[in-house]
Amino acid sequence: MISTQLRHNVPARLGGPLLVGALAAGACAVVWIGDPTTPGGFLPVCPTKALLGIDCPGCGTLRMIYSLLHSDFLSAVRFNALAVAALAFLFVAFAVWTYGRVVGRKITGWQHHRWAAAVTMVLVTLWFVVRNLPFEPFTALRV
Amino acid sequence: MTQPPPPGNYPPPQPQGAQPSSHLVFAILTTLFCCLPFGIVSIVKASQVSGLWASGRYAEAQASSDAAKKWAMWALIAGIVVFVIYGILIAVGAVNMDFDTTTVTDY
Repeated sequence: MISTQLRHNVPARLGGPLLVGALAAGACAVVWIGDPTTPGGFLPVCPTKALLGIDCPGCGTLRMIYSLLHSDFLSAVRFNALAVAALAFLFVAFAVWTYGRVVGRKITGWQHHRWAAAVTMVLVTLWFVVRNLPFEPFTALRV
Repeated sequence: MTQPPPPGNYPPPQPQGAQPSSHLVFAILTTLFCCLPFGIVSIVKASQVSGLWASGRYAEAQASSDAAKKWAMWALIAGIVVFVIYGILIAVGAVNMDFDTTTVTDY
C-alpha cells in the first residue's frame, strides 16, 4: 500500500482529497443557492420526514449547513446539533486523510478507533429518539 | 489414518492484513445527507467490525465491513434517486413545495 503510494508523486496522491474537497465545495454552493431554510426551493425535503412525518437523525442538516455558511452558528445548532458535531469530526477525518496522503502513509484517524462506530451508533439512536419525543422540552428539537 | 481434516472445521486463516475498514465515515455521511434508515443500518454494521475482529472472528468482521459498505452505498444511491426524482418533479412543476397557507382575502 505504502510502496504503491510512494511511487506516485504528491499531486497524484492528492487526487482523492482534492476530489472530495471539490465535491464538498460544490455541495456547499448548491446549498447556498438553494436556501433550504426557505420552503419552496429545489432542495428536497428529507424523504423520511416527508413520508413518515418524523425527524430522522439527519433532518435539518442542509439548513444547518446553510446557517454555518452564513456564520449563524446558533441556528446551525438549532437545526441539527448532532450534525454540527458530526461535521466537525468529518472535517478532522478529511484533514487527517489529506495529511496522510501528503506524507505518503496511512494515518489512523478517530474513525478507526475501536469504539468509534459503537459510540456513533448510540449517539445517532439517542438523537433519533430524543428529537421525536412528543413532549417538552424535546419538542423544541423538532425541525 | 492421516487423512487431511475436512475443510471447514478450522477457523479461517487469520488474514495477514489489518482490521477491515468499518466505513464509518461513509456511513455517517449517508445518514446525514441521504437521510435514510439505510445509513443507520450501515452504522450498526460498522460498529460490529472491531468487536468481531478483536474476538478473532475475522470472516464475520469482514462480512460486517462489507455489509456496512453495502448499506452505505444503498443509502447513497437511494439519496441520489430521491434527489433526481425530486428535481424532475420540480422541473415539470408537479410538486410545489411552497406551502402557501395564507388565505387571500379581497376587500
